[in-house]
Amino acid sequence: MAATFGGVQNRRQTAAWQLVWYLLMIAISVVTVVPFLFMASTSLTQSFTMMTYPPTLIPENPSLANYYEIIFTFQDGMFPRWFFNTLLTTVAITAGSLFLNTLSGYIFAKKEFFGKNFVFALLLATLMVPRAVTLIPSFLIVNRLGLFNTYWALILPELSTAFGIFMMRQFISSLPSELIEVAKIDGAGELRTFWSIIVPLSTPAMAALGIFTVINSWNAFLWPLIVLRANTMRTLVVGLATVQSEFNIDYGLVMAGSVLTVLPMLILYILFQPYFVEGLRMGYGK
Amino acid sequence: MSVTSTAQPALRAAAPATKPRRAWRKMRESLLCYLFLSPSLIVILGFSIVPLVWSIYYSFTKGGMLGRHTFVGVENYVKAFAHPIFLQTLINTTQYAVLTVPIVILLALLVAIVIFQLPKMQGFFRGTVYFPLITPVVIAANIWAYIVNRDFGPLNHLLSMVGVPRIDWLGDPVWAIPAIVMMEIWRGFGFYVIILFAALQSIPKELYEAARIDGAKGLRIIWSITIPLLRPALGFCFIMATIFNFQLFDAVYVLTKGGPAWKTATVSWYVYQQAFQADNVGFASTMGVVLLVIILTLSLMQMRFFRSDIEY
Repeated sequence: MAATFGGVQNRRQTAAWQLVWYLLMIAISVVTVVPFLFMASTSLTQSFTMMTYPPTLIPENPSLANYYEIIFTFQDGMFPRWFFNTLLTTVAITAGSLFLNTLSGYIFAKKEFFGKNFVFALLLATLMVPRAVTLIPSFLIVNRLGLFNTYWALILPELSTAFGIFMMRQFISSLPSELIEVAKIDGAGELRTFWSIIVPLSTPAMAALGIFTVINSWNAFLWPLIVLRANTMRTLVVGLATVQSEFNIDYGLVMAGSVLTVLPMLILYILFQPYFVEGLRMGYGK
Repeated sequence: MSVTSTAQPALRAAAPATKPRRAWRKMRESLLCYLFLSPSLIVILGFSIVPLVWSIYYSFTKGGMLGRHTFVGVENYVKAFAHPIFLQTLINTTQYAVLTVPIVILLALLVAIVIFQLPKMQGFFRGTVYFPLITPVVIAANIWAYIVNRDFGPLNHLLSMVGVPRIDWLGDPVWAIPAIVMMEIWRGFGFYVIILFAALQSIPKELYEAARIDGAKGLRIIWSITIPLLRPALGFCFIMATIFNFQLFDAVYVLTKGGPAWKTATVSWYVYQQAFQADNVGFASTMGVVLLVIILTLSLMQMRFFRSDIEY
């Protein structure tokens, strides 16, 4: 697409430079990805061989023992429980926030109402508020609602986000307003218009936001660390982090757990990669 | 956007609405909009705006998670700015940001430009540089702990091959911050690559053509066309990177727990520690508010600096 970028050099020079750029990018990619190969490699080793020096990427006696242990015997099946907690909350957050963010994005994009600009500016301003400020009162609110140590503590605060509303508004603004008018002439009510016109046309943006949301919820750390204290309620990430600092469990086991945590996101990432890039572009708004 | 509301009355021009009726309809429409917005607004009000106000109030009080808070005026603020650990975390946080933000964006800019002019495999390379971002920081940090391990980590192994003595990256007060900064750069630069790449794509090709006709070449084109036109995108990257890096928490939690001797602790980490471990909620809120003021000031300054008049 962009082979002509800035280029007016003669052809041989260009080819030489291209080679340099490819090699450079391959080197950068290797540096980016190789640390994860260490993770995979360690997960296949019994913990004591972790201490081998020099470090190796290919384990000498690979075994799936760590995977067996983390899935079946670790703390009476605690890992599958964490997996279930993570899956459930991620699905709930993603479904709920996709619906609410799209609905709100639609209202901000296509409706005129009293106080719209003020409310929208207020929403955007919340993006600059650091987590450290909202953390304590949010925790107290969740507590007062009696949601401490429940799935709702994770789900409720994430059901709508300023970022998500902003992103959907950006996208829906670019849809032609005539379609909505036509629906209205046909006698469709507000919700009907939203559901049968806006939602189908917004699927690319929704897919992008959805994947974002899935990854953020799956990987969330600080908030779940605070509101879910019971071991059985923990998410994968929090479980792995706390178990490691509380009991000195072995590294191979943690790495096997880490691989199993990253794997679903990796699959999703590979399947939906185009939407990712689109999502970032739309979020940025240009 | 504003076209919408005018279109509808036009359709009903046959029955001209009187003034009060129109006002009534407008109000009804506003109410309906708020009805639809209400779930979102309640969530954001409840978990962003109310907590913000609440935190500001708590920053002037003394008390724990449970029980009453007593109003103490600006006492916490006076205390904070004379508090050696808090000042240390402020310095550390600034250090993280000052080291990470320019490097991560410069690196991302270079990588984005290099990927952009490759004839093939653009998608593949964007995919690989973004990959660390889909993994939890906790796991990435865990892997990083292994990479920089003093005795058997690959980094020291590589360094020893060029004769550098072993460094205790996370245990040495001098090297701990650079070790975490390296991790943040490694994990985060892909985000800015994607954004800058998208911005590169949106620069019209004709501008390059014109520059070429004027006799400009490679680097000169990048310097006098690409960079100025990337200004808004670069501004966005700087603001996001500043907001992110001033809030560093996860990596510190996993890698160092703030040690050695508070040398790696960030403000966010100390707020967490004071609020949820030391039950010093009033003081923790004060520190949070100070962080908020810093982030707001920096963001607004950057917005001003990167404001661009160039349209294309």
